[in-house]
Amino acid sequence: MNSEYDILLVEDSEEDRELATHVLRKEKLANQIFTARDGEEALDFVFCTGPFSERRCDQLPKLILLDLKLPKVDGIEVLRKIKSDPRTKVIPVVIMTSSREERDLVNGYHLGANSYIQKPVDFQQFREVVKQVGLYWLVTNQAPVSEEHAAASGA
Amino acid sequence: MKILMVDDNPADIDLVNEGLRRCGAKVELCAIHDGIEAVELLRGLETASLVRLILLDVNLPKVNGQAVLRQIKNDPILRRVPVVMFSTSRAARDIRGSYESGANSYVVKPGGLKDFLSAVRSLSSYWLECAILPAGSEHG
Repeated sequence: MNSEYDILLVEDSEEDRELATHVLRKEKLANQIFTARDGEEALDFVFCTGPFSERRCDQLPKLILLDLKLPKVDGIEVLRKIKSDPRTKVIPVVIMTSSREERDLVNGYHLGANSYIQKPVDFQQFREVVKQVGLYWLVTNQAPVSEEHAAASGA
Repeated sequence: MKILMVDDNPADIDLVNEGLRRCGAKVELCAIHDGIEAVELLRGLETASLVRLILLDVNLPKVNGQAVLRQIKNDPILRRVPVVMFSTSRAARDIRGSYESGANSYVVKPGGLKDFLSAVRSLSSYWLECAILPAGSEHG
């Protein structure tokens, strides 16, 4: 299984998943995008458990785009688990949600979310936001390299 | 809106100011040259409540950037302020170490003038226009 993913997209809306994936591919920002439909699938993917036990766990995605309102395990809990595990806390996690609640925003940053984006309802604006997020996190930002890669490069 | 830049290189501070001016960002850049001063300023609640984003260099005099970062991210109030590491270092150790200490983002300072200004534009359009930043800490 090829596990060198650029992005893990965690989103329960099929429409948003398809649109975000389309924009990121069209703008040539990311090729390998894994989409998870709920919090449980996202955690299984990240921690290589359940259906993903065969995945190579040392290959971290460069970015996780995380919705908050998710079935099974909610986004805040997914964030908490990723950010409290030394193996995964270095992965940039961007919350992308329709929530306008101040509590989600403060709580998200407090728990270590790398950034917080409000999903626009408008289709064109949503496209533009996904493009901006992809440009910043995959072009401008420097993602951490895995421990093994760092060791191999003598750093 | 206030951005705090912690950097010991005055030329880089000037360039960030110039970059922000060119993209019309309505922000005040507050510059500090060493790590101790940065931590002292951030501990003053009144000022901290106004800082919305921090640009932090890795190699700083007195207290290095990662130590400043850890102080920010271990503080229950300050930790919510996004910290973007902005440094010339491309060392995997610096990059990974920054994320481990809770950096929100790591941007390598480009060497050339044009690329430097375009990095500032990218930082500004993402953090000031696209991302939602927490309000000043007095709301928390």
